[in-house]
Amino acid sequence: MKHFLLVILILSGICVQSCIDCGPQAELSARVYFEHDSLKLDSVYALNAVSQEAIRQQTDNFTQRHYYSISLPISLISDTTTYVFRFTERIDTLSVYYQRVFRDKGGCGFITDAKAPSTASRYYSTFSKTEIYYDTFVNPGLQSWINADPAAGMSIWIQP
Amino acid sequence: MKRLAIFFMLIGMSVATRAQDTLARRASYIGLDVINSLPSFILPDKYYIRNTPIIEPYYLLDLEKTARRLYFGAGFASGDSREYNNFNPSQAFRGTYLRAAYEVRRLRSARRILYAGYGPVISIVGYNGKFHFNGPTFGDYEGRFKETNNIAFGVEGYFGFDFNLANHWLLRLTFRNVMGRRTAADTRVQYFPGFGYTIEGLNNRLLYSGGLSLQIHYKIR
Repeated sequence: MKHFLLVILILSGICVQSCIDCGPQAELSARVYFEHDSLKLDSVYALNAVSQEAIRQQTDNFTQRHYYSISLPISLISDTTTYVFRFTERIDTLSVYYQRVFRDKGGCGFITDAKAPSTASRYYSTFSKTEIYYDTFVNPGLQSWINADPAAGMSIWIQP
Repeated sequence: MKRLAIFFMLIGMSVATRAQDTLARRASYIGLDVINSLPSFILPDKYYIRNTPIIEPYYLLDLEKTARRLYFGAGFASGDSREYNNFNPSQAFRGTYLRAAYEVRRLRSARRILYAGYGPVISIVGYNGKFHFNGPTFGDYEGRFKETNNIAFGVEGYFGFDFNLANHWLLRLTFRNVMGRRTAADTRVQYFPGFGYTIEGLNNRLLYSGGLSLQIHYKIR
């Protein structure tokens, strides 16, 4: 009887821990997709960054196969982040605007999220075409057991 | 399980029996909790709260019915909780609470008296604290939160022993369990004055805690 209760307690503890989707409790990253990318991307530089390491690691390891998408950290300190994209033939600038969210979520503590800005302009860019989709980084409630996809977060589609 | 059954039986007996106290007078006591805040000063890094004065005055009033007593308690706590990790940094809190209970006691010996009781608890608390997010690329973010007049209602059940020390002095050892509900639960709290420490993983609206209290009482009538 005593052991049975213990097992139930441990199992429910594991369930509570694993069912909650807290989202990334760290610096958030926007996913950037390049549409029919024929240009060579050399590097991406983030303005006002203290370290370019997270971006550099991705651009250094680019292969022909997967360089149509990279993940760019967005600032926790400001509601806008600016990147400079250096291609072999051209240099482009992209500023994304968003609204940071910091709140307490039950079972997680404080979480961070980003949503669409309250202002009309969502980006400034020198690309020929840019689209930004704002989705939450945090699923609202418990994560379902079967379809355990993490929340999409911000995604940016650009056409050089 | 056996011990639990005995415990419930004891409570049942204490409710059912009339103590043969023919000299019953309506005595009353004033008291003070003496150990509640001590661990937070002696072991600030191990205990769940640090350097927190907790002042809990009590008033006991015997009822005309034998072995029945009313119990009133107030409380004030001000301090901060221990820092667990980056996501649970310390929170500063300040709260005032009131509790009342109806208790039944049973004489076990001339010096040692078993009692059990239950009653409502209300607590009003203010909070503030910080939270921290690491930003390796753009720099860290540090935020603050503040909640004022966070109210919680609850029920407390307890049992314990009275030890008659000297003529007018009474030492009370109480084991208590308290459950409550916060009216607003924007942030998870680590310590809620009057309700104690609620373990992590539980809903932050419901408070549940157990504890121990040692009180010194003086007979004023």
